[in-house]
Amino acid sequence: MTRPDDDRVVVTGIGLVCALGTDPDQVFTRILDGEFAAREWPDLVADGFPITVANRVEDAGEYGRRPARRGRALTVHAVGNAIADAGLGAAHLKNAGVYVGSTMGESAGFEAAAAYSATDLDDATADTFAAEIAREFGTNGTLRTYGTACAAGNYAIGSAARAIASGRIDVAIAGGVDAFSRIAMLGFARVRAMSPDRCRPFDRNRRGMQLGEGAAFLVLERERSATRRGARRRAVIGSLGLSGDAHHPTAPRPDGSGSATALRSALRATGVRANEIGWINAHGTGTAASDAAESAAVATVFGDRTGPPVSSLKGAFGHCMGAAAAVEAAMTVLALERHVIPPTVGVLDVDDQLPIDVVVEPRPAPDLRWALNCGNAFGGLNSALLIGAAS
Amino acid sequence: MNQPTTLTDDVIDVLRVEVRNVKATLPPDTATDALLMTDLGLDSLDVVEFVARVEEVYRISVSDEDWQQLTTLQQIAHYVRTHR
Amino acid sequence: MTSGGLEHHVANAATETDASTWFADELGALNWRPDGLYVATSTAGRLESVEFWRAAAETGFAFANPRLFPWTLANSPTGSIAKALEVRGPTYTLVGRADALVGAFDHASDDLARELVFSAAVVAVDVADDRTPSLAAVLLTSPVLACQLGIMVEDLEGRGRPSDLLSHVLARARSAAVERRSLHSGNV
Repeated sequence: MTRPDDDRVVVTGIGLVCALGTDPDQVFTRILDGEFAAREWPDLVADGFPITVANRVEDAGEYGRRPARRGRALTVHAVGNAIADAGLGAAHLKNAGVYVGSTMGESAGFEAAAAYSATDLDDATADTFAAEIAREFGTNGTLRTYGTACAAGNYAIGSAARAIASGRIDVAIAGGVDAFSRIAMLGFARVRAMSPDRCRPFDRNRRGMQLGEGAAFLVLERERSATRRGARRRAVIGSLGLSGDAHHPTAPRPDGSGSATALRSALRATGVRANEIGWINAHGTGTAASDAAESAAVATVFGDRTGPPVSSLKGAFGHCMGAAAAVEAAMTVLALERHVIPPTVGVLDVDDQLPIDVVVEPRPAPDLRWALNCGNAFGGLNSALLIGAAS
Repeated sequence: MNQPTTLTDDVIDVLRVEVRNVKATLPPDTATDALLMTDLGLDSLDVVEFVARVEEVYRISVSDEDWQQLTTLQQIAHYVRTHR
Repeated sequence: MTSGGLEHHVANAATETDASTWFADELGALNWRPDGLYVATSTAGRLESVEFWRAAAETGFAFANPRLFPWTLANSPTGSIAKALEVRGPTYTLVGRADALVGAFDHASDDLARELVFSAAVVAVDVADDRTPSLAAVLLTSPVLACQLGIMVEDLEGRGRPSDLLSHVLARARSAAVERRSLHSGNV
């Protein structure tokens, strides 16, 4: 099932905005250094939120000028950077497909509507980001918006890669976005899924997730086109594995069987064997149930405690919701380029009940060729995207 | 001497109403020592909703540490009584 | 309801109702057991988002009721429908209008062609501003038919909601199938 080399789907550009920064290389280095963005926010304290620690993009008003357009501002910044990184010109952009993942849409728009100010709900609904990209960057091709919550970024990137692989398009802009959502900040706290202090994935004392925000977009191309353009190939995108739990609106199947199916599906569709996977960039939200289920899934597919090393990056920049899998895919590309597996920032005392090898310090990986980027959404939607080294 | 009992009974009455607001199929005289999840069949989302309703009715906040220890109506009633 | 091998269902709730359970109940009653689920929606939990926030302002954040929160996330209808139909394979939520429905058909067709699934339910759900939900759904086993239906949606060139577009397309497919059958039976 592996294709001839020049028919592969490659990443030629990356752009992102998250609480740890806007330069992907710098963000990756910060993660290697164990930095984390979570802090208390005075406005959340003043407004009486039950939990007031979050990972928000510090901005001097560039994204905050019009709150109901924050997601679009983040999107335009990230996409602009990705396009510049890829050196993509107007001619290629014209026919590019646009694939976006988002969970909440423009959350501030819905928050305003609740206060009865005149808000166009269509303007705030999640498909607004793809339309903005098309408008801002002059694309005339396919627009797709995936509302698959924590997995949406994987859906967008995986689907874009599939469209290129099947010959329908040559170039795609694919990724995810979610601006900081007060609705999510309150909602996750009230369903008791949120940690009051730090997010510690796979830790014995993990207390829940932490909210983030951001936008991350990749430029994907057919390798042949990229070579013709003289573009730098940063990574290869393999197949997307998907499955459903059909279990509960918020809790995963405890045995991880749903997410195991997604892992296996990604491997099979790409034609890569389990023992070729050098790293799993986990969903790893830091909740008791989700970390346990995900670990069970990894053990099922890769062997009890004998599988590839596993990290979660959500302790570094929070759970970026619709952007999460996309930001994490970008970090996966960097890990493959720099041959180092980033640590699970936030973990202090690994839960030894979990049958996985949790990475706690940066781990050199000179032979890293394939990694799995995982995202599991509320409603039991599981995704695993295979990403590989370009050379 | 009777007052504490009356207080608990009032609270139990309220809790029985609120738990039926969460899961309408429960009987009006739910046993006070029945386990919310195992015996009454509440799922994790039902339980956090029930705790939220109790918080709102009594204007108390159940901390993230405490809520998971409250597994029966009896325990919740005791919590309410000692935190009002 | 079958027509030329096309099993489908269209429904509108008569009154304002709890869309979240209504979608799952309507589809659960059909006895479909698709391998994959492809949902298109223009409303994606937005009314629930507004309502959750409005109610939270009333109670105060400290006492906000979490019940509606999971339904503010765009893929919650998909999750509950997947549970009602017992779907363990791929599930998609596309947000938007015609583009979302075309996307759902694209993915269904692609997955059927690759034999990732052998049966695919394409479901369009929307909730009007007055909270009345509507849905249209079709069960497909042929990637070609999935592709054709997607093309029919594209040809409509409208700004309609997925559930309206899908109802329209299914009605046309049904009358085309009936026409073909009467031609074959020599009734012309």
